[in-house]
Amino acid sequence: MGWAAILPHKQEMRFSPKGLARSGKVVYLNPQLTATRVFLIEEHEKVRQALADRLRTSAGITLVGEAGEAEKALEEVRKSHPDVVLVEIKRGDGMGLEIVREVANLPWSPRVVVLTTYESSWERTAAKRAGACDYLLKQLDSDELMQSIQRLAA
Amino acid sequence: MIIGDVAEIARANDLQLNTLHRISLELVRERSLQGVLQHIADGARELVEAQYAAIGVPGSDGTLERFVTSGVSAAEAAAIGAPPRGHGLLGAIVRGGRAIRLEDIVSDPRSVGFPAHHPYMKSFLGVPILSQDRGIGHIYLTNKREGAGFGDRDQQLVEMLAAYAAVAIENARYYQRLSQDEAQLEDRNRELAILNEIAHVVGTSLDPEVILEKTLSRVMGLFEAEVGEIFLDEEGTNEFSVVLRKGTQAPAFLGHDHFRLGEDLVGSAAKQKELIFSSSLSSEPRLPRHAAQAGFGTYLCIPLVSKDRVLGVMGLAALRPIELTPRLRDLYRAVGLTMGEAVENGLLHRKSQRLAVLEERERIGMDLHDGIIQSIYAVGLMLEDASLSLHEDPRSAREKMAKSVEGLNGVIRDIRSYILDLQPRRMATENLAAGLRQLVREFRAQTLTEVDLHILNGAAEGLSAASMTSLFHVTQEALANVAKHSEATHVVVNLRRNEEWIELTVNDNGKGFSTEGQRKLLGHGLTNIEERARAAGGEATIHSERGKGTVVRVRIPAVVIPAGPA
Repeated sequence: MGWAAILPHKQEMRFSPKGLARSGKVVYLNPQLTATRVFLIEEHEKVRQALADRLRTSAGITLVGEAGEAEKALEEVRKSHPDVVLVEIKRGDGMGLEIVREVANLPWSPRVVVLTTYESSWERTAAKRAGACDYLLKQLDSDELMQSIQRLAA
Repeated sequence: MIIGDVAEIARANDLQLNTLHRISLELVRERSLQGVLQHIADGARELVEAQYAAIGVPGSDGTLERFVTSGVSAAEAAAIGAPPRGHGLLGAIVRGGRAIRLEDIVSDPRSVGFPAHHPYMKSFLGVPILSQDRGIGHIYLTNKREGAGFGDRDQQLVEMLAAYAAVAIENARYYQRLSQDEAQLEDRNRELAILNEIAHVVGTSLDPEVILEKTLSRVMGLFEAEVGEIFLDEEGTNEFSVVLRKGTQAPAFLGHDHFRLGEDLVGSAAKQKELIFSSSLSSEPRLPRHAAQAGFGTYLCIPLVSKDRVLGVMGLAALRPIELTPRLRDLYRAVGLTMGEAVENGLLHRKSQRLAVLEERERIGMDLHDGIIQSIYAVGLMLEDASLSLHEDPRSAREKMAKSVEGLNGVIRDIRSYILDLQPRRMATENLAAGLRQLVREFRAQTLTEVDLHILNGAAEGLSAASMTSLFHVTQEALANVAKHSEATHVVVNLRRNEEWIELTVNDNGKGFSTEGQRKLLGHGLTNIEERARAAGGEATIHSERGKGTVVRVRIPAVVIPAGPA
């Protein structure tokens, strides 16, 4: 690909269109290509469905995938290369922080946003240490959430 | 000799014997040493017809411990002033251990003369008071009324009285030692009693406040302190803050509520891990001035120690001067150790209670998260979505709104069943059957689900109290799980038994769950059921399949309590 030759990068890294736009080296005219690509990891079925729907209808956000089960989620994330991964760390299998760590360490460094119901300063610190760049509480007005997501990837 | 003289002598002897006899009686009746000596002095004077008599008992430091006179009026005694110091004649009597008779005191070389205002004395009879050949005092008489001086008979009589005096003095000394010992014994008993009370308080209470309150009172009583304070380092930061203050002089004795390690008296006691005692408070530099000005005389700091760590300091202040004997030091040190241990236990207990509450809160938090907040959040998202797509896709919007209502219903159910689980429950009746019936009744009312209870063949009778409680609680938890997770419309509760087992099953037609995830999904309820079953010596099994309902089965051994006499 053309721009792979222009821009220096590590061998494994593949830039998402957004990342390239970020670097300022490439300018896109098609807005869809600049939409934030988001992957959702949430174990609670009803919440995952509702969140997924909400994300799909949000302008500037493209939902590239959603999963509840841990293994499946990581597999899909690796395949779909999201810019932002939304993670609910409270899980029945207790793997919340582990997932954050794994995703944050992926080669293209997607931004991990923890979206959770449980406010605890201990959890907040732990999540940040595991690599999350933000820790948001689930609240009923999700406009703010959508804006935060977009701002992050900007 | 003429017969008349013999008769005269005999009569005189009789008189003397009678007097002696009378004196003996009086001595026996008299209890105090002073009284005894006085009787002896008076009696001696009468017996030998002297003008003056006196008894002296030297103490261990050389001065006269006791001095009793007879024949000297109060005015004369006051004029003379101090009793003789036993240098001259008197000393000679005691040291020599033999009586001395003189016709004229002044002419004897051993005499040292008389002090001013001393009445004139000529003839003299001095007799040592001997106890086991040791001179412990002297009786002396002066100025024989008739004749030049005292005779052999006089000396004999006085020596007899001296023997009495010896016994009386030794008895009195022995009694005094006994009293001292008794006083010491009483002191020790009192201290032991207080230590005992402290141990009792410590042993029966885990609340550090109660322990401190009660022991401070007792120790203040022991020390006779007007003010007592206790400072604790609860956080382990080497900062001691006042937690308790008692006493009539209420404003803080030390004037501060906090001390750092090493600061002032309290801090010093803590740092050195040793008692600090001060009985000269006015010159104590580590004390604020107002404390000494308030008139306090003594201050004692006792570090409260446990496992070599200083947990706090107890300070006691008393108005009067107090002596801190080595034995008392040991006692207060023991108090410090006991209280240190007690306080540490109490604090640990409080911490573990707090942890238990936190754990419970954590669990509640998790439970709430698992079900209710998530459900509400999902509903919120759906409504948002519905309102966003209202114009473009009204059918989809309506669908979403219907789903929201459904979701809210679920939330209400969740909250209700959660309340059900939280209610502290004890089997109100002695009867398991009645208890189960009540559980089922309440479940039906709360969840509007159909419930059937089958108790077969007197299965609920003749059970031990422990078995009944276990089965009751297992049923309660199983039903709570059904309410929370299953969305069942029908539940059957069975209780049956054979010779070996009592078996309880709770069967619902709800949505079930995959047994792989079973532990996680049902939170604590499941493990509790298994635990209870095991604790009762039995076992629990849970079968479930998605979409096919759940069966909870618990078996415990049948220990039959034979029925009492009808």
